[in-house]
Amino acid sequence: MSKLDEELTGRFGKAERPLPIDPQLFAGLLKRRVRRERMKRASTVGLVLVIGVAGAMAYALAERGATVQPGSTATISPALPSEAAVAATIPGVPFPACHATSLNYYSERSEYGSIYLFGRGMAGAACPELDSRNAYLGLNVGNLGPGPKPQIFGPIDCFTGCRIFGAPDIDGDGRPELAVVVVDATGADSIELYRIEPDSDPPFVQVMTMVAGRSVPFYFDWGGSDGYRSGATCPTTSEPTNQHPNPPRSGTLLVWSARRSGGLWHVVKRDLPLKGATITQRAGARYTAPSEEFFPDGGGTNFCGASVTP
Amino acid sequence: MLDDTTIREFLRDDYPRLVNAVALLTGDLPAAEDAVQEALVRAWIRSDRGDVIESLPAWVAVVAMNFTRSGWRRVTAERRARALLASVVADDSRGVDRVDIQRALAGLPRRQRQIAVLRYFLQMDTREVADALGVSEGTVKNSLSKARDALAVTLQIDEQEENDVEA
Repeated sequence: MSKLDEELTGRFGKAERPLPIDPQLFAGLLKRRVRRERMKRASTVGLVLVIGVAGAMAYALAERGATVQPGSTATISPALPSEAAVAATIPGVPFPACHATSLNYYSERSEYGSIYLFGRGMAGAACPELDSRNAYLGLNVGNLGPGPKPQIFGPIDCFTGCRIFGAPDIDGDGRPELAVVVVDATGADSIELYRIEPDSDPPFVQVMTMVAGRSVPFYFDWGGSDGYRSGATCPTTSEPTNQHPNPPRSGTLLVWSARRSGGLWHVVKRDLPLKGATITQRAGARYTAPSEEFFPDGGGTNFCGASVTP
Repeated sequence: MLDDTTIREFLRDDYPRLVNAVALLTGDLPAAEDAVQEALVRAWIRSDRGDVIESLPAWVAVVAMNFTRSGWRRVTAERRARALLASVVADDSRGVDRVDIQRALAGLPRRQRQIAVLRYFLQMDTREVADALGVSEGTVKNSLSKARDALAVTLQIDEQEENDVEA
């Protein structure tokens, strides 16, 4: 190497800036992106099949000037994102809405409310696929009469698709948190959480976590297949009894994942305290378990007392 | 095939340096991070399909550089979250050197810039650069010679001393 080459190598070396990263965190994020890429590619064929049905349904609704009403549990309309879907009107939403999912909830003051997740569409145009540029949350939209003021929040994290998962009260403060599925059809879905603040602006605050000094959106996996399962529960402060069938929550979220290998489930469990809109990360406990019963296939249909559809 | 261990080792040993390399080329650290991550995702998927990637760092470096050339950009929650930490990244003591190098590189044609970063920052030899870019070693040497001369002038490195030494 010539002296000039050495000099240039030295000068270039001094140009490096520190870039602190957490390999474990980044590996997790990248793995999630890899799964989504796989799903995106795999779903292209499937989408062609649903476009006809979903498009016809949406068109028929639009022709009748239909509005979308929330159900008692999370509902999806249409069932899957499709290019052919036509935007519908949701009262209180200032733009045509696409791919809406919704649910009703009761606040800690036993006040009724509605939550919607939808994509921003354009009048007379086919709906775009939901992604992180066009997905919004709506609180108390869809009300036709007097009631709480509708509020819109977003765009939110959606990646290649998202829908409402449920509204369990995770921390036991009497107010439900909103769980949103970030769609990943090939394996475990990722769940992101929002604190619902009906009296604040914005009305939703995404639950964040600190990892290696960085504040990042908190997520955990829900679902899985034969050799992998994941989900979460909310521990209570005591066991249910006849007198107290619903003991209070401990304020933590217990996230678990289990990978089957050699006839055993290799389990990782993490107790994650939720305070306000912040989850504290803790090291997981690892152990092996011979029984399959403990790990519901697909993550289960109950998330901290709320019915969910994996 | 790439696995968790390989990826974590790559993230620990190679990722920061590759992000810096792409950032030198573009002057945009968040875009460089996005590009390197996307390249790594592509590598992972290729590996799943059975493709063999001889040198993961070299492959990721070149693909990430190509992403930045095409104006490609992701919008992700991860990047938005990292933007909150920009001050942490910006607070380092090597800013002056970096700015000098970035300015010097900015005056080079794209291909020379790319080759200079691969050679002087990632310290790949000319054969490795040629393999990574899919060009001949002669092409690399030719471009590198021009880049070296231009960089020496811009960075005010005394070429006379160089000539004296060689003589």
